[in-house]
Amino acid sequence: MPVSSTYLLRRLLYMIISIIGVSVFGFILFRIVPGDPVLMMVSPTASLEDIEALRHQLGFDRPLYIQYVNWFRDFLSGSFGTSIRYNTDVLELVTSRLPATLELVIVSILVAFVIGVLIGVISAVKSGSWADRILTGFSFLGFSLPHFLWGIVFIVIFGAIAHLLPVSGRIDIDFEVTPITGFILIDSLVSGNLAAFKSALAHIALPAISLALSLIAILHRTLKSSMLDVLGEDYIFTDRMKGLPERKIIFERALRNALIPTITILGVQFTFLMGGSIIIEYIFGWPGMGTLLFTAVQYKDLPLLQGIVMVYALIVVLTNFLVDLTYTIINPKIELR
Amino acid sequence: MLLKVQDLKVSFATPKRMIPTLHRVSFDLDYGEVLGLVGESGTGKSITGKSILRLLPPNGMITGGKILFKKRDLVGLRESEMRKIRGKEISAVQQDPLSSLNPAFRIKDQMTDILTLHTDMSEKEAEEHVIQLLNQVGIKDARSVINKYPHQLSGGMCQRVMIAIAFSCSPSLVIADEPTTALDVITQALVIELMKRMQEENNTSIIFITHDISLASKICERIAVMHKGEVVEIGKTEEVLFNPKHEYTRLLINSIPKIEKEIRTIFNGVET
Amino acid sequence: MSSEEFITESLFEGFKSILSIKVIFGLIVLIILFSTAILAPVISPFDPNEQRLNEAYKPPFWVKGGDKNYILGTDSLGRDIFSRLVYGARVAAVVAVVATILTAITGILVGLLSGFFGGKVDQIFMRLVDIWMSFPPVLFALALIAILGVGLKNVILAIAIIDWTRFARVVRAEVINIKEKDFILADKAVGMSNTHIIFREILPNTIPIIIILATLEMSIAITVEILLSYVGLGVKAFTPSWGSMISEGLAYFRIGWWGMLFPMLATIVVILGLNSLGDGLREKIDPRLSLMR
Repeated sequence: MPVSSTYLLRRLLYMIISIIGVSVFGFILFRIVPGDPVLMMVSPTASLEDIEALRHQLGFDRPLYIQYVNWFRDFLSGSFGTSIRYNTDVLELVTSRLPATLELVIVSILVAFVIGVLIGVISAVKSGSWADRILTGFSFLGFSLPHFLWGIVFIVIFGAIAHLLPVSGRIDIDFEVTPITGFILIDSLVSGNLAAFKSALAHIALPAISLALSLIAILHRTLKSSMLDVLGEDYIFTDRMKGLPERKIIFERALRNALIPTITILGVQFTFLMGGSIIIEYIFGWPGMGTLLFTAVQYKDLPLLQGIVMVYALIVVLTNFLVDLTYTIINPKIELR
Repeated sequence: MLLKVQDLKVSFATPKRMIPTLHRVSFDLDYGEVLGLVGESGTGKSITGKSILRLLPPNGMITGGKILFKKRDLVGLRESEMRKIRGKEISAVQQDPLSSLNPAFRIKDQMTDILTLHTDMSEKEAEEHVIQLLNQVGIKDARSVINKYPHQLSGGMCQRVMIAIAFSCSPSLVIADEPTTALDVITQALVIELMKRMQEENNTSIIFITHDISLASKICERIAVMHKGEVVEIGKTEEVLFNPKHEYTRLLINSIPKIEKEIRTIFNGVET
Repeated sequence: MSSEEFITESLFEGFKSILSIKVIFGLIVLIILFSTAILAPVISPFDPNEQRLNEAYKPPFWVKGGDKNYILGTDSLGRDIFSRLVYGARVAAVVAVVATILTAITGILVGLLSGFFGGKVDQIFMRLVDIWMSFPPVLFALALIAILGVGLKNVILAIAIIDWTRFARVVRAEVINIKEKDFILADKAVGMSNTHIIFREILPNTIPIIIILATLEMSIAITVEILLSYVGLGVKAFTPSWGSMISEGLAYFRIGWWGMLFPMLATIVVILGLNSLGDGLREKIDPRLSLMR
């Protein structure tokens, strides 16, 4: 389907405005530090020369607008400076942690999608039954309680009481998986190391489910209501009139229509789960960008903090752009404004 | 006798109570006969049609009576048995052709499914048969149409497709529920003509549900008039039309615009 | 319909069947939370920070080894858990009220202006909202705390800086809806001033939605406070917060389960209660309003 080119341009313009806005915002955010940002970053025992050297290195001794221009130029070229804590390039640090975060979020979305769609269909087909009521209650819980509370509940139940699943890290330290994609589940499978794959799977289970619960609840709600709408449609009557088996009608004919509003939610939810993953990583010791963020905060590592904030924001801006595009492509009947 | 509906009762459940909707509906239908079910909206015509298919909305249920189809009572028949009858023995055409086809599937998928289900045709054979069927209902470029989605076709086209689906397994009974109401006047006439031709070619019985008694008189041999969930009058079309016994039937006939009535008389005169 | 009639009608529609189970549950939780917060000094038997190291790790009174004085037991420093829980409710309630008022004021103002004037004003505000929402809230909060430093005031400030966008978007949509209504068009026709129309005619009609949003905002504010305190970036050390109690309790979980259980339960009940209130009100007042986080 051809997408109107003016719409595309406008959306692209919005994205560019957003990126510039985000960069200005990030710049201001880290200049409003009460007192001297440089003093925040050094140890109390640092000498005056050390402080001035760092100030010069960060460019904080130049006029504000020059600082912004330099910052924006660096931002575009992906150079966020050097981490004070690790003494490494910030972008390098962040990108080395990115796959772990993405793996967690993507696995959560997959889990949520499968479970959410399944219970959504059950709730719609058995609408009003006890199964529907239980699922609706569960879904209210999943929706209401924040990710980090679920994380703690799971740690206590599965980790501390039942010792069923590991509650920290990505994989047992005994395993050595050579990074190919950075996604440990894929890497261990590709290298044929099944034991490592099992360990990685066990490690991701609890954080992924903690993160997935809210999305499961949202998918359950949306799918139930859209499925109920679809099941009342004339074309479903047509299929029943043909004598088609109910299973085929529900899972093939009705589901494909009911999924359209559901899929559009996934994009927005991706960014929402990116945000939620931060605290989940902290709770489960998951070595992604979230734990890196906590390190940055703890050590007042401003360049690292700034880099992480910008990377998260850019991921959100890009995702929103892509979601809008795919939405208009999969649903050609939508009005383009 | 193909179908004998006896004292059919249907009720709908609301959160507070059961609301009786059909009270003792009775009529019968012979092989190859076209029966009109006429009445205003809300008189229970569609409910009657859906009861015969046993496809009432979730809150509706048959509370009494019999539906004898080929001497088998459909009321109380197991759902799995009912599915063997639907589509193969009894099928239906609905009011709005565009919404009765699934927007997310190609025409092909929505036509071959009924054939592979009720006959022993393979996917391929079914597809060939579908093309034949579409030609039969007057769609010429059938080969390209089967690969299209419903929203790419006109309303009239979609209704032709629906008629082809309804007749595809040569059922003994087709329930046509206001099949022309959503169409423009010219397409209406074409669709009526098509249904009549299909009916004659296959010797199918049709229950033609409509609010328009003049339209019913054009295609039906007998007419049953429904009012408030009951059949108040049933008889040969001419008798019902020219010698109505029930007050409500008279009202229905009087509501036909005069000019149309005159044209119809002339038209009918020429035809017979 | 005059604006008064419109308001009374919508309020009436709201109250008529407003009391569902969800709403009643939520109101009870809310009342308990606030009365505990206000009456904290009266209710709590001990100073929440009073340490008795030789009385540490006492289980709740009904468990073997428990002490009738410490009904929910003591923590690793021998502080009374019940008293800390009660003062923790005070922290939660303060954050809920103050942060919600601050976010509401900013958000409603932006929403009203953006929705009423439309055009350029709307464009600018909505781009700003977009940019704001590009930063995941938890990340935003952590960055702000890193810059501002820990403490109750800064937690509230951070929430106010982050979360006004929710009010702004929903109020804007509602204003766009209302401003096409007859009585507003009539007001415009007779030449009423914009300020009068916005604050006297439109604002009162957005109140039902603002109440729903405020309820949900309270639950979010409490969540953020507890989360930040849990990771040690919320209230200052020794201020009793449910979040820091949970993380301390987890640390000595193997010695005593009660340390984390009670603040955890309190958190869950309060958050469920507020969500249930918001959800229940939404179902009754405005089922169309989607629950965006």
